[in-house]
Amino acid sequence: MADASMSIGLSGILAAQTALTVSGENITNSTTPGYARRQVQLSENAPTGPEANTETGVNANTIVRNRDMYLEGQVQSYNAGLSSATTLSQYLNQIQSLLQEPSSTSGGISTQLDAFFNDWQALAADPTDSTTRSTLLDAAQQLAQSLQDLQNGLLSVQSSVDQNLSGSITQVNQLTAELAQNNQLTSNATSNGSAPLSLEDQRDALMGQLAQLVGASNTSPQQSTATVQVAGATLVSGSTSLTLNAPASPGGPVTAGDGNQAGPVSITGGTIGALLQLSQTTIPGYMQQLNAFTQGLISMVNEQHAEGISENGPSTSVTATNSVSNATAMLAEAGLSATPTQGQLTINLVDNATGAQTPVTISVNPSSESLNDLATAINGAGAGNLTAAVSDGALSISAASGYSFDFAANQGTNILASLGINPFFQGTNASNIQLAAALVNNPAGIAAGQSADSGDGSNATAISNLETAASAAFGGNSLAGYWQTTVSGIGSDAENATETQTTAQNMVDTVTTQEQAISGVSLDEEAANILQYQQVYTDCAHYMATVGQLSQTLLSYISGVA
Amino acid sequence: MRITEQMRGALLVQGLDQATTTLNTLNQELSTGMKVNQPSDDPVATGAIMRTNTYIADLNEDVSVINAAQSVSQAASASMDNSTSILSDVQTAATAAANGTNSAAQLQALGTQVNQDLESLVQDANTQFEGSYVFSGTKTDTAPIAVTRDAQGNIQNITYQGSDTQVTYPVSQGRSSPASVTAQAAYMNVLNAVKQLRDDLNNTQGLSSQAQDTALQNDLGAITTAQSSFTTQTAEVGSYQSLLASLSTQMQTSLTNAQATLSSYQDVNTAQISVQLQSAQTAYQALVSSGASQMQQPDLFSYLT
Repeated sequence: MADASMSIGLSGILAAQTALTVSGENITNSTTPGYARRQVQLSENAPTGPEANTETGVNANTIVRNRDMYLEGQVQSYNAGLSSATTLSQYLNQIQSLLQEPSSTSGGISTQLDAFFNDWQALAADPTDSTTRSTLLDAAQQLAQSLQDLQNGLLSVQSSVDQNLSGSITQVNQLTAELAQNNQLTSNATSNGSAPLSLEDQRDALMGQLAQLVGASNTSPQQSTATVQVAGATLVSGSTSLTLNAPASPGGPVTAGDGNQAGPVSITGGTIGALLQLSQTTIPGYMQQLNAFTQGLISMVNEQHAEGISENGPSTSVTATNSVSNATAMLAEAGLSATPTQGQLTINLVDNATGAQTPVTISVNPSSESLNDLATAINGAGAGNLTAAVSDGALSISAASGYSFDFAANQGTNILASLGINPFFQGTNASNIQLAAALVNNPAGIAAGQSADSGDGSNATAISNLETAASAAFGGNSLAGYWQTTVSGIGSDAENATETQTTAQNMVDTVTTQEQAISGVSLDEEAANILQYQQVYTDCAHYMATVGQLSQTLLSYISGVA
Repeated sequence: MRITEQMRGALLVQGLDQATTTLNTLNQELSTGMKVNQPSDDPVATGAIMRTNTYIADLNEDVSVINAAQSVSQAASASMDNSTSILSDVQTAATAAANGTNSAAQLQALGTQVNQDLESLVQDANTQFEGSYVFSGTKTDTAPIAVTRDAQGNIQNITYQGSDTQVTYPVSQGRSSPASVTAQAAYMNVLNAVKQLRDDLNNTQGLSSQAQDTALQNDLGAITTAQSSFTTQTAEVGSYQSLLASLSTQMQTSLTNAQATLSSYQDVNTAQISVQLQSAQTAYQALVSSGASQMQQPDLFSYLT
């Protein structure tokens, strides 16, 4: 009887000690990420004795983690959304700050475009003024430089995205390896019959980080080992993990697996999903818009400029600045960056002595004519006064002695701009646009008029009208309008990303609060528990002392009778 | 629901984040004076601001082109006014000469006067403004009127060597206006008529006095006709001037309106922002002080001994 009572008292003391240990663990880990509040589950010890009526005290062997795995999955998935939105918003804000729009004082492309085209208008009003001409060339060079700077800025954001991407993939591989190891340790522990609570905490922390990086989820939340799947690929299963490989070239796909067995995985979630979206779609899309704008600017200005006459009067010879890769290939397939259109090319042949003009008309058909054919056609129509030749893939046209020539207004084909004859800009896109070499430090070379008259600014007027004129190249939008649409589009993308980020943050805050309500450590609660178990401990000790005293009393009575 | 210390802390951090973001945005708007500092602030307004900026830049350029055209027009008009008064002198001389009562010496004296007028008229026709000839069409670097002179230095032959195409100024998108007329239209008839009068006054062809009288009467008619066509051309320049003046006024009005539009898109209402900033600051301070006292609140452990 006394033995049984002593062991009941002892079980209470041990249970109180365990409970105090758990409280200590909870208090010290109250701010540890991934830690879930522990709770002692007390149970009555099974009764013993032949009739199972001997009480044996309390049992505190079971300690549980308070974690709702369904909520944990939600926390992870909202965190994945948040880190994806944060990454997008961060880079899109970087990109939009490159634009320096919309204020007219911040020096963006739109302001420079306005200045450039208004300089043409000023030139039209005063074609002989050399200051106006130089100002125009400066504005053109600045515009070309800004377009190149913007392109380089986008490239540098792209390369920062790609670096971030390969860094994040390395991190994922470390995490999946750790998780696989954690699974191994967990199954070892469970097969030994112990509950690996701290390994489960670590698993949840690792899962949390993985979710933020790739948007992965644990597909076996009810088991103590984690299984991780991303876009159909199993990254972690049991003690094995699959390696992710960064794209072989920028904009390429992420692959999973080793060597030849690596297959593409289309990750859309988490930081990596956002980085891939930026690298594969968003930034290339912006660059494509920038290039379309630049190409439109180059071809529109060049087409019109070719039809004008410089201050030096009609030409005696011109050489194309764009060469074809093959002079015998059809013009449409000869490697010109802007394919020529079919139509009539009209050259005005001027007899210098009389000033008489003769139009020489050549039909251009890019699908049935090579550059050599075009040269032959010019030679035929020019009747000896106009000769054309092709050298190194570049067409040159020259007039016989006593003659000069210019190109008529309103050509029916863009062959002049396509070949780069009398160009204003040279280059083909935003990475290489610049002022035509022939115009550098040569303001007189600007073709302001369509006649040789000094006061003729008609060609400059025509060019100045290009900025806001509707163009088929931009689907009916104008050059300025296309740029405005592009900038608004980028702004709208950045705004959406920021809004998504705010929403995601709110969702994360909400589910994290819910999870904390279950898994978080409350210091007040622990203090109450400590008080309570201290009391149990003290009372058990008193109880054992009392039982001990009872035995003593009985013994003294027995010895007294004897 | 269980509330843990962690949750209280996280809530305070969230609140502080939101409050500082608001403060930051308001501060930026107040310091730049603009509510759209980057495209994402308002993508729709961004497009509108850029469009309006382009429109304003265009209008400013239009105004400066109109000013240039007006200067040329004024130079042309001043020369033509001068020519008009010379022509009325010439007409007086022609009328005096045509009444048939003048002696040869008197006619000679009139001839000398008319010759001087002819020289002045040629000078007017070859007026330059900032180095460019205003009456030679698009050939602004060529004097419109070329003359040949006889042994005595008197004008013999008058030719127009400018262009028949008028210089036009791109006063706005898709719209051009001339500022002057060509000497071909304005001066050639006048100069030839005046030269003929001078020749007949000097009787260079040695006509009989009766034939000379007839010739002088014909000259008077020619001068009157030329004068009337010159007046038409003067009126033409006058109409360009009034067109340019009204365009200029119109552009200024458009410019004022466009600037108001731009301001409505991009400028902040400073008073409103200041008030908002003040209330945001108050909210922030309240949050900080209540947060601090909450975090310092004693928990149950404080009472355990």
